Amino acid sequence: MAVGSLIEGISIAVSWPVIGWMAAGLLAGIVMGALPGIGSPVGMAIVLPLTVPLDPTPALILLISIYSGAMFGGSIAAILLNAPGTESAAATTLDGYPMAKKGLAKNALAIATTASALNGFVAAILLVLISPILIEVVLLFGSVEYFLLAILGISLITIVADGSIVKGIVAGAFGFMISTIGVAIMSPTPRYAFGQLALYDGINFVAALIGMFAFAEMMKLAVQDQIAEDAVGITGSITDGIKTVFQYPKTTIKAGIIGMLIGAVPGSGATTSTFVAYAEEARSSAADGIFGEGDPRGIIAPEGANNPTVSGSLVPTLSFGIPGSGSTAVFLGGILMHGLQPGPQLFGEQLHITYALFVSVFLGNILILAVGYSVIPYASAITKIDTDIIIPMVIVLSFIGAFSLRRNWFDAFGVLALGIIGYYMVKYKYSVIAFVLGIVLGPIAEENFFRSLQLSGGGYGIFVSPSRPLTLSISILIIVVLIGPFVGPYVKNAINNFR
Amino acid sequence: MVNYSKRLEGITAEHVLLVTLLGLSVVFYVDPILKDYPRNAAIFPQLMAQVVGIGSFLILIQNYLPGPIQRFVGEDVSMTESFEEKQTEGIDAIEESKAEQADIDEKYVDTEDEDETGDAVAKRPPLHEKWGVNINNTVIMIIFSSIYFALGWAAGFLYVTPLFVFSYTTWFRVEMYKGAFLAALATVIVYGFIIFLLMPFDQGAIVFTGGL
Repeated sequence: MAVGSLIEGISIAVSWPVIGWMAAGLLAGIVMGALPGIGSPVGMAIVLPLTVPLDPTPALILLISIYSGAMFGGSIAAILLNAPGTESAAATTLDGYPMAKKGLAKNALAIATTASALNGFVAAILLVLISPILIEVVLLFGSVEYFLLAILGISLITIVADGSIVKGIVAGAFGFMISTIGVAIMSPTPRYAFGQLALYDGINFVAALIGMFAFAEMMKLAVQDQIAEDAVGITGSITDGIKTVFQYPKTTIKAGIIGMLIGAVPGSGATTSTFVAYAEEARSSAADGIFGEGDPRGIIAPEGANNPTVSGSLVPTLSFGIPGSGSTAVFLGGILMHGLQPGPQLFGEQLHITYALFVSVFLGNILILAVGYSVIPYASAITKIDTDIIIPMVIVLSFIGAFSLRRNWFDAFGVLALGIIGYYMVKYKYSVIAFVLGIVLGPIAEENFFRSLQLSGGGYGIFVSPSRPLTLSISILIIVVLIGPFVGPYVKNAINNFR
Repeated sequence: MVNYSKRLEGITAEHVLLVTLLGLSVVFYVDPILKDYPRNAAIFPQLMAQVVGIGSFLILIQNYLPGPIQRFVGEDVSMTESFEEKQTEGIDAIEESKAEQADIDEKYVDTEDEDETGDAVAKRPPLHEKWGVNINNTVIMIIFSSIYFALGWAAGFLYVTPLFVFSYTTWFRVEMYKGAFLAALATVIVYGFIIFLLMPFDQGAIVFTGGL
């Protein structure tokens, strides 16, 4: 079945107009990624409602291409302005900008393009190769496990994200709570609608995503000063930049592995993987490195890690519905909006769609090479776009996009209300990703929770039952994740004292 | 005597956020009881409302909690913290060297001062700053967006969108021709939604109810 689905996936990914959507998504992603303060979550959230008329496969390929493109695009602003277009490109500023200041901006951009695309390309192949194992693993999970996985996902996010664990739990539970507005899944009871017919369908999670990522980001952007004052000139050599990547094969391979592994951990995205890759390179090459002063390995490491993170993050997102970052949360929203469900469906009857996505990531990285090298001479033009021009356009697209989802004014209002809440949540370190995960996965989690209780006759013991080893393991893992950071130091002390 | 004004000064937006969450959790817990929801419709939202309520309450009173619990409630345990610190350190180092060369007074560069290469950014202070009114840009953005949403609902987005875009860009001192171009572009986008997706953006709930 897998080989047949792979062939079908390839034929979908290379067909017209799917490949056209992929190219459009990559270009849009590169531009959005290059604009400081925009980045992939904002771009994907704005585009999400516009994908409604598309079939699921081209719509998801468009979204994943924006994500891949933005990963590379973020490096343009990082190198030329010392202001990362996306959080994942923050590590690239450390050596990218100093290198550009030395008159080697083209080299730095070519290094970023090559490392990003090359490793992204290899990671996409690995993704296809490991998919048969994933299929087996995914099919082991049932309702009880899927409910616990949603809880585990939020728990992992709370320890990866900024802020205390309690804040993360509150954010995730708040998302779950909001998702229960509207007619209940198991019985036709309208909940928390307060007589408003428009609330019977609940708060649309896509509107919530737009509010949390697009509108809230614009609120942040409104107070940021224009940052293009120290933009550097586009000088240097593209060819030398490409050669540089191949001079450091160990750095490139190591960055790719780090990117893919960290991307596959639920709750951790490219921001983490790029810094881990950079820190590891700075540690292992400390003897001969000039990190912070324009060392090319300081660009290869984070850029070589960011695109494999896209491939890695597809693993928990597609198999268990647990996104690793804001971008994958929006992507998960796209999967659900188009009537697909992560888990057995995407690795069973819809396997060809999953393979089409993997293949599009693979092809996308080839396109990044072609597009990336050709935009280098004009890269600085993208970064000069004024934020005050972007903000009103994003607001317009947010409102009309949200309304267009269901022709419901509550959705447009939800953008405004959740945008404001999201802004303050970020400001006070309440994990927005945990909240979004709660609101997106709420209906699925509630359904699985209810089914689990039906299986157990209403008892909660099913979640810790020794007769279900997988369930028990996930429950233990949740407890370890949540109390580990507090109990860990005491355990360490006890072990040291014992020695 | 209790100094109420001093206490009020200590209230932050986070307190407002937490009280809102606490209030919502009470609503989500109590409504199923008052309206007699079936058990299968009530159990999940009530469970989540309990988590939100207890969590928000603990964060709200964290300063009065005993040591270990306070640590659990308030301590940042982010696994990525060390990397973020590295990021901040690295960026700070570069920022410091930039700051030595840059003059803080040149935060806003006048359009006329733009150099021939166009590298300098023409950023003029928004109207409220020019008038000496000290309001955060985010607040202005929220006000503009709220008015845009309300008027869009009342009169239709098609008519309100160009006014919103043009007034926003004018307020933030974007060149007038750029503002006019963006307003026209935004109108075309909204019109595209009407034509291709059949969205009723030409109709308002109060005026222009009949549409085009």
